[in-house]
Amino acid sequence: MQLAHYLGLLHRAQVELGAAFREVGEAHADEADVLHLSRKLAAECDRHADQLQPFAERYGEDAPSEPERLHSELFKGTREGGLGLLRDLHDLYLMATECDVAWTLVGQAAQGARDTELLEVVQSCEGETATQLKWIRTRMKEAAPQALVVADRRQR
Amino acid sequence: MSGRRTRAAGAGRPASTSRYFLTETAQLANVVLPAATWGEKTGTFTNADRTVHLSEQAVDPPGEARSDLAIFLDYARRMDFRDRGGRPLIGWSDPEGAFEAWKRCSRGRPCDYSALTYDRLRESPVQWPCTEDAPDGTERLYAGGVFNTDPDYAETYGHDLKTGATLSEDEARAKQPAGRAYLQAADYEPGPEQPDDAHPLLLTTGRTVYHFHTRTKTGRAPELRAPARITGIREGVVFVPFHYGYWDHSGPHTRAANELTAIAWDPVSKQPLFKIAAVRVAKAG
Repeated sequence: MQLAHYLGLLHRAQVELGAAFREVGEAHADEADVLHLSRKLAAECDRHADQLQPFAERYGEDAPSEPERLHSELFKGTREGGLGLLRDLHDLYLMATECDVAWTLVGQAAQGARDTELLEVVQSCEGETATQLKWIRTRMKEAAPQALVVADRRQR
Repeated sequence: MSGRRTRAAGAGRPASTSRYFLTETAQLANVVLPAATWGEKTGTFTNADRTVHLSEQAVDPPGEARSDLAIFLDYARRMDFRDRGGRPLIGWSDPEGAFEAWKRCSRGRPCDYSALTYDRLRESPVQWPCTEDAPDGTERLYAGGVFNTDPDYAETYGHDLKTGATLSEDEARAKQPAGRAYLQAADYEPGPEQPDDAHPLLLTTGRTVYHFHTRTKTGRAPELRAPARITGIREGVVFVPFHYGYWDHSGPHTRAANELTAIAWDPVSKQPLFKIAAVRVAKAG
């Protein structure tokens, strides 16, 4: 069964998203809402990872090489300034999308494998990941006009 | 405007600000325009319960101060803002003219002012919506049990309460609200600061009896020096009256209650979390 690969992928994606939320929040601490919500959402990601852990073990975690490559492509550390915030949130969005899709696929597999416990975990977590995506999009929309249209003196 | 907002604005320094006294925000601005306060200018204001009042000018503003409206109109004129037909963008020149334009703007929307006039407001305040069908305003909204949730009428579709994420039109349509109200539930979330060994007490701020609600010019500092009183307060809690700023004081910032609370706000309402912080109390030496 290949489910182990996807559980491993999702578990790592959640751990990495949690770490990235924390990093981005601290890097943009002068945006107080970003700092507090990033911490809150990082804790949510950690909880998702914790809930997946026993299933990842049960199905024999045997992660493919994709997650490592994914991490290096999607998040290479934070940036500064208004445009930097936008790019960092954009990275978080892509990482959360990775989780969002993986939740759907793991959910499908859980139904196929008749694993009601795993399905319960998926159903309690996937909505939170979807809300994280909505928040990141909302916050990016808010930041975009200033970051993209108004010149940032510090970046000249 | 509070000091914390000032710091938030620090990254993109405001080009100009209009104030009726030199606030902490104004001290950061490149240009400060002296502005009239109430009683020195004419205009309407609307209470949280939708009651529209007319406030007429009683005295001239001091010195070179002008009303906000006069400042904006002068700005629009000097910038030579034009509409698509090449005419001046702003077609009015006084508060009543601006009010007439607002009436046209609000027609058919929830806060409909279209049947209000300055003359009517001189008789008594009026609650919006005020329309030809309800010329004396509307005391009770949604009296027929119909709310403004129809996606064809709404312009926004609400927020996720935990994050402030905006909900989409598609999500609103999927609920088929048909004028029904939503009750949104959210799980309890602890505040960002919880008491620990280093800061064992919970601070809350508020108003005391006879405490007037202006003088709200505050900033932020890691400690506050003030006399402490031991009273019958709930165990583990410290209360500090808010609103002691620096309007009369240019020394170090050591006395405003809001300096002790976290810089954080509710993600939907944007209300600052002035009500909760973890603190310790020590004798000033």
